[in-house]
Amino acid sequence: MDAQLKKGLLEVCVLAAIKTEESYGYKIISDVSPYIEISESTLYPILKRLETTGMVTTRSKEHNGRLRKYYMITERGKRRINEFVEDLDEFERVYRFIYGRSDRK
Amino acid sequence: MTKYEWETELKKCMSRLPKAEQDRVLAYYNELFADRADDGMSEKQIINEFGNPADVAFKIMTDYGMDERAPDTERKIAPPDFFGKSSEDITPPDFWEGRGAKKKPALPTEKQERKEEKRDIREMKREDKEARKEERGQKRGCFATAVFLIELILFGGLFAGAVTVIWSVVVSIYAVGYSCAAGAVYSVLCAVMPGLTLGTRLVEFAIAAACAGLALAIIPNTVKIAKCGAKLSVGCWKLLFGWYTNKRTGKKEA
Repeated sequence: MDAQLKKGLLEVCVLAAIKTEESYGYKIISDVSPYIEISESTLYPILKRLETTGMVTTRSKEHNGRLRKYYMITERGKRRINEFVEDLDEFERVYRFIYGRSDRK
Repeated sequence: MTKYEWETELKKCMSRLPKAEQDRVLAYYNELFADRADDGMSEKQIINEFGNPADVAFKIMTDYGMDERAPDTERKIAPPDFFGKSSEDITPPDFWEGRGAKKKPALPTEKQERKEEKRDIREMKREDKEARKEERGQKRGCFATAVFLIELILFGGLFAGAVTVIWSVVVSIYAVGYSCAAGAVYSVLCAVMPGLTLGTRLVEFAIAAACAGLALAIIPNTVKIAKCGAKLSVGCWKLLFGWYTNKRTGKKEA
């Protein structure tokens, strides 16, 4: 998959993974990896970016005698998911246009 | 490789990052390590999953680690001498060349390192710039809220002032009306007092008539004047509110 496209998709995937409830690094990777390739080193900058842009907030909670960082989605993050879904229609039109001119049809 | 060795190697490879960022990365990997261990994975398995610390550092130091380097499973078990030997691996990926394109010829290691360093610095600067931009955006948001509150206070003050003026005038008119009525009665009483000349009596009657006329013009119209005041207040509200909303929407459109 194209790197830039994957980058955008991964961001929304991570947001979707924490939409219903807060989550932590390992769980996010486990939830997202069946759908798109993701690794620890890929997730780190994504989480950092999402936090910097105010789409997620974090808190540390004790788990098994150690601290675990939990990520929670913000309203801005939820809006990003909705925007992505709305963009899909446009994406599909572009896809059909490109597909119509590809050698694979 | 043990967890300690892996971490030490990672630290070494990220030495160009700010200390706080290094700590964040280490805490992140520590947590993932503990979670995987809780899941029943062995230290060796986890280290293998994490991959070469040099690769991890590279990904963290480049934007998102989402560059176009083809996934190379062999690199995961390669010795962690990323900045020393495997110069081919750190050739900056070229997005426009695409995956199928030929790899660029490897540069001598030293040159490559310098190039790499410059690129990392650029990346970090860019991230900093984005963070600052975001901060500025938030500041602008705060500023806009402050302006909105000030506008709201001014708007409220202006409206309250206008309504006070309108109703002060209305009350003043009432006061004039009722004072005139009282004045008329007083003048009539004065006119009929004994011991006055005819001229004085006539003047008193004239004053009484004038006052009565003014009182008659105002008192029967009490309700009308109140309605007029209310209408003026509503008109004032509409005018101010219309001006205010126009101003705000106009701003948005601009």
